[in-house]
Amino acid sequence: MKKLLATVLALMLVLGCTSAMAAVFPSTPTVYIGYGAGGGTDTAVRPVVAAMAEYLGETINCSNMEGANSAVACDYVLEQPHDGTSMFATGTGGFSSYPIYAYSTSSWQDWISFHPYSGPAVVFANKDAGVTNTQELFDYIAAGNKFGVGAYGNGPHTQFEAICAAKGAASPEYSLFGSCADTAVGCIAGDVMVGAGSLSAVIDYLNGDMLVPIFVTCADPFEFTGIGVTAPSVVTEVPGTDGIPNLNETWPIMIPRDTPQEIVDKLVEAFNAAIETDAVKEFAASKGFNIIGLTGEEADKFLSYSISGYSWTLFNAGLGEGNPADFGIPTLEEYNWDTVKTTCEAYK
Amino acid sequence: MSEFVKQLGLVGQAAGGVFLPSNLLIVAGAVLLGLVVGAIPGLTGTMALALLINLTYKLPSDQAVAFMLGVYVGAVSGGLFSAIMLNIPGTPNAAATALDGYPLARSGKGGKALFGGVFASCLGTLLSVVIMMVATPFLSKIALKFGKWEMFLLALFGITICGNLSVDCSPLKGWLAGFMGFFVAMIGVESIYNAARFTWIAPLRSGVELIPALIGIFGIAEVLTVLQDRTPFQVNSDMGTILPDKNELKMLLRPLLRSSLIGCGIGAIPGAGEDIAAWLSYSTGKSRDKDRANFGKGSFAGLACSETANNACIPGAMIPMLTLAIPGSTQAAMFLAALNLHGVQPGPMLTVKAPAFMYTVGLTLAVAAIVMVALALVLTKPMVKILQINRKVLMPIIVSLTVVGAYASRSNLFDVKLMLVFGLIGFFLRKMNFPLAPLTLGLILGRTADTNFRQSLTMGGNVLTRVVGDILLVVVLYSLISGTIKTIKSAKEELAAGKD
Repeated sequence: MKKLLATVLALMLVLGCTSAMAAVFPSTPTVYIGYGAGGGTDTAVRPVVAAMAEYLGETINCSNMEGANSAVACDYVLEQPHDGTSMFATGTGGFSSYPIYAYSTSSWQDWISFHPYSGPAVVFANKDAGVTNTQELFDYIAAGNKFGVGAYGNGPHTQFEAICAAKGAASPEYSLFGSCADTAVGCIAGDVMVGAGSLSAVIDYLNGDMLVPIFVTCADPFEFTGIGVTAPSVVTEVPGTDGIPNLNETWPIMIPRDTPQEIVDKLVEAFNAAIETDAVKEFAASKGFNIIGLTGEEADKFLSYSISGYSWTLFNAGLGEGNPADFGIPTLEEYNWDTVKTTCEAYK
Repeated sequence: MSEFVKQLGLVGQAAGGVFLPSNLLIVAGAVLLGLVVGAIPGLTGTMALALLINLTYKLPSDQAVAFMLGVYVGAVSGGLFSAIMLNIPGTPNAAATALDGYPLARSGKGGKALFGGVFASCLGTLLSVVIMMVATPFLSKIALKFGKWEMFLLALFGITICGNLSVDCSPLKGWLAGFMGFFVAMIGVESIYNAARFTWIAPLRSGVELIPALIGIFGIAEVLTVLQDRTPFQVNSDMGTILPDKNELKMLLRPLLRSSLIGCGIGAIPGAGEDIAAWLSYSTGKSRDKDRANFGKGSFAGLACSETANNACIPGAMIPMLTLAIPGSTQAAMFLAALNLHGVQPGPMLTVKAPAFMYTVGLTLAVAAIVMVALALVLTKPMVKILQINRKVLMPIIVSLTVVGAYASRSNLFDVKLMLVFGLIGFFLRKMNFPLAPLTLGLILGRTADTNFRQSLTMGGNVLTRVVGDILLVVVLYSLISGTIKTIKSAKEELAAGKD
């Protein structure tokens, strides 16, 4: 009898714990990735989600919901119950362009974000271009030659616009390739002789000695181990570009800001554990990502800064329909976190 | 010689892993899963891979590769089951299969068509694997020659064959349907300047999704057609053997080499994919095959053209993916993401870091293709029984499946509404004897043609100095001129028939 009682009590305890866990974290949540399957954001997000799922002991589904630079998924997740069952993943480049392109009215204030790593851009040249350093690059562009990027408004394009502005050089005439990897392939094939792409998307071509690296947009130089060449940082190459590394793209996982605190806490815990796993660290190293692990206020600050940087750079380049000023987005020169954060209810 | 021996050693090393009993079992299970997913309208291989990829996270990388490739091969072929049995392609790449598969099923050869389709898929995969293993360095160099201009011309070529896809109607109707699809593909925010085009309502900003549109055009239109019939088609007789006879086998084998080459070649072109391969192969067969007069009316050769090419596309898509880390299709892109998750980095460094990996992929694909035929032997007979169910009973079930399929592609209710609209469009076009195949082709190729054309304009330079582009341009012009002559001829014949 005692044994039976003990068993029943043990069962109740286990069930109690399970239901308590369930109350803390919903079962089989879904991360809606705002871009297509197999693309840059999809590839960047999945290892972190998988490691988070392992930590939580929960299956976390990844569903691709592309459209309007990830705004379709963004609005969809905001429409779902804010209980942790639906999360959103995007790239900060795309997310920051919403106000300019009127994709969505959502902004950083609506979300709690977790940024596992940031990825710099790299400027590269075709091996036969005769361009091997920053000065030669700008001379080459000044001669009227085209510059390849994936798309207007993506990370590398926006950063290069800001670099040109800092250098006092005119914007180049762009050739568009659709994606960073396509830009690199186009440059290898000779469709353009110089271009820029996310380091993660083109690192193999550089390590494979198919392109020449000119500079990277992270704060430190980057070594391409495959060819034993270290590309300098833009910060040392072009004076006045100290802020450029802060515009490096990240691929955050996001949940609506009013999600219950215990779920947010659990996700933060899982996220922090995920970025410490060997799998995520190895993946990040192989792609040239810097693990930054931004959460909480740091993440909000980063996201709002990105929105300022991207939207004003695009606006100044004459792209998009919206004016960032209409959305109360400060320019990078005016940016002050203490002022910006007051636009979010959570900081009032 | 020493290089040959070295490569042989790598094949042996890869075979050691692929033929482990555990890996073979995983491949078999994955192929079955892929076949089931592919057979359900709206659920595609990409979707299956996207959903299952995280489940492979805990598997060792060789087992994960076996699983993903098994699902990939199965899902590309699975679409033929519903295409043949219900005239509703399970996946976009099986749309061309329905053209001959469904008439075969209606004539009581459903079992033979199913098995023949899977058999052609298997042979296409095997031949393409051989091409992949032998010609990867050469083909990856060719793939690099396919810039934006060449992709535009390839898409344009696809659109010019619309007239050729008309069955029992004027080629003009094919052209009209093709351009209708082309127009629909223009809807949405375009990807270069982010300009909104024809976005009368907000959900159209992300464009017309291909899968709901295809489910509507084929699925809902078929349901409406069946419900309109007083006595819808139903096969009551015994199906007999599922194995094709000597003559039918000959017809299945005839397009093998041509369709495999088309499939593998199209697969190797980044961004093209299985559906384009199937259509191009079908159209080529319709111009060249001895049985071309029966294409669209129930030809085993027509069936083989589509099924051989769409599966041959898989090893083709692996070529740029493995050597350049550029996926040839969306499903290959998903496989690339899975490899990244498992620490395998395809690209120029792969031959240095994991030289046997290409052979692992090739052998796994070959095993999956063979397993698929074995599974088809078991699955075909029960599948054929679907034809014996009264279609008025079957169709409501199909409707619920189509709704699930349309919704599942983006978890968006708008896509279900879109599917219904396209269902009505498809239904009325069928009633007016417009071919639906060109409409599909226009939908598939419209955005590719538009985006690549405008991107190629941003490159500047003289496009006429590009050799691959020039060859394609000649092909497009030939297709356009011969198509126009055919259209005029057909119009004159119709006119003469009217006078008589």
